Amino acid sequence: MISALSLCVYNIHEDQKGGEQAQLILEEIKAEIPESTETATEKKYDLFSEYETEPVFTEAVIAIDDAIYIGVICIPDLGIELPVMNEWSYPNLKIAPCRYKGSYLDHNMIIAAHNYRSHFGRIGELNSGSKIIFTDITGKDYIYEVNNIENINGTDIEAMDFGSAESWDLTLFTCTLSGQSRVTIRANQVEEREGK
Amino acid sequence: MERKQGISAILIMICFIMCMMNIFQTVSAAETTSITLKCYDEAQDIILSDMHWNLYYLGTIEGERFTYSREFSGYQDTVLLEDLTASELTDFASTLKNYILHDDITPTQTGITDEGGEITFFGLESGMYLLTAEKLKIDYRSWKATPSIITVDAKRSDNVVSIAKVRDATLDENETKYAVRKIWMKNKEEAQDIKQIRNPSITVEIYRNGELFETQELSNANNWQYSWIDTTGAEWYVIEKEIPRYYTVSYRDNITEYVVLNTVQPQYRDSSVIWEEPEETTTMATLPPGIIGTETSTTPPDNSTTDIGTTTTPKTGNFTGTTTEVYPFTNETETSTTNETDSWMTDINSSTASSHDTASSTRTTVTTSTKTGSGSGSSNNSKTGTGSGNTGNSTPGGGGSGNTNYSGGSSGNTTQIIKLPQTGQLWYPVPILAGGGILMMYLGVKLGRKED
Repeated sequence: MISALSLCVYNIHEDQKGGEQAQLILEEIKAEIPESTETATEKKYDLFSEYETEPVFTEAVIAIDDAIYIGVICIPDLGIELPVMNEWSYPNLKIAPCRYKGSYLDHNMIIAAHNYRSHFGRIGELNSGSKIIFTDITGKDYIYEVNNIENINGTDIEAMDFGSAESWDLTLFTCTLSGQSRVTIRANQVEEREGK
Repeated sequence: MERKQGISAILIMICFIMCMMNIFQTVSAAETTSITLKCYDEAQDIILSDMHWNLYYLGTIEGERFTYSREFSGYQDTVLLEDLTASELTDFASTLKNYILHDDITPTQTGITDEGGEITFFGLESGMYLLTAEKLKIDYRSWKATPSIITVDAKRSDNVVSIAKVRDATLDENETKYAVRKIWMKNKEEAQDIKQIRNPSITVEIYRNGELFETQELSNANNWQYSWIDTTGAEWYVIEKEIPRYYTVSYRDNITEYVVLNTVQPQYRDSSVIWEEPEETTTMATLPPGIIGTETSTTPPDNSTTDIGTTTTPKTGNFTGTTTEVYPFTNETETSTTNETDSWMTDINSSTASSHDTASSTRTTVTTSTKTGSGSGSSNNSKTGTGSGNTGNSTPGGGGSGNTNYSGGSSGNTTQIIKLPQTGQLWYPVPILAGGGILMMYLGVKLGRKED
């Protein structure tokens, strides 16, 4: 009983700590994301882009406390807004959601996070059509709509990758309570827009 | 009576003279026209007064033929005006503006816009004019006008009104980053922009407020690009120090980014071609000019229906044809001609090889066949101004050996991940532990009662 109680307390503490750390990082990232400096007259046209025979798109990243972040994910229906780390690892997952694979530029990004209530614990409550907004470090918004929710076995890596670029542009996943499966949210990109 | 006749004659004479004077005046008025320029920032609804403009007479237009004026005649080979689109015309204007600044060409007229943001240039002959403006600064804001080309015909109109294209050029009060990039372009007629004839590097001169600021070499090593920082909000322009042979130049900018475009100019030469029968059958994806061939489609060994490649077999046997070569060449010496041809052939070879990489299912070996090309007299070099024809000794498409094997797809290397990351908290042990604890408590109580 005591063990059960201790485990409960530990999990709750970890959940809260993960949430607080993520919010601190989020504030720092938001301070770095530039606001649009375009005047009302004319957007500064990128002259060089006309001559890129093979457009070179690179992700912008930001380093905070020796960790690299690629942007911010916001799920309005759940009221959560979290930073996204560049690479996943178990220590990183305790702080914030992490990019598991792919890129928002290639329309195949998979983001993993712990099932803390402050992280991805409630993504199973999303419905088709729910909006997800990923903001990169330059302030550009990539807006997605949920089109599928599924449970994938924890060992079925191929199923997690399946359909990238054809069926979905963004995937979020986290563990179920049992830890055996992954609650997986698939979403399609519907819009891109420059920073606010 | 005679007196009356005399008076009548005098009156008629006066009328005639007045008519003639009127006609001359009318003719004189038709020989000049004017240009009115209106300057305002439409987006911000700001009239731009006190903006300094310069007008330059570029040259005459007769039908579709444009002839540079004396002041600008030095640019006729490198800054071409022909069939330009609207945006290319803007580039043409920007290019000339750079040279005007660099070579300190005196404007035909100058002036500043009035309170209404207008300026009129009077007494202009028919022809083409270039209008440029200096940057206008008001407080911390600034505006820059795109150089524009206006063509006027004094016989048709005595005033032409144009709206200047202006843009907000206000820069960040912190340091501003500038960059210049070199672009190699092939021209509209799709003449090959042969990499082998490109200069390994070029030099750009960067001017700041009319003074030479820096000279920078651009090449593959720096990706043909150079950046610098400035905090003063100065006016910049760039000039390519020496325009590469076979290329024209065009300059573009958007206030902080500067592009130097070199576009290859095709050079035409008609020459006779004699194709001798090769010892072995050759196939190639691209035939040398003038060589007739038959196309063959190749299919992959798995008999899929998709046509994945087409090769052409040159017609065998001796024949003579005429080819128009549309790529840069030199008329200077036979040796250099051969070199030029070799470089052309290298390009053809490389394109042949690359096109084979994906197409054929059979092993093909292309041998070099002998070919004698004899140049016939004149070359059509109106664009470059050089005249004489030359003997074309060229070897045909001995396109590199084609080791081509169809391969269906590639297997990628993937990182082995055994399991998806464990992203769950340890909640599942809680009910187990709690249940176990309750069970143990129940058993403990029950055992205690039994003992009692």
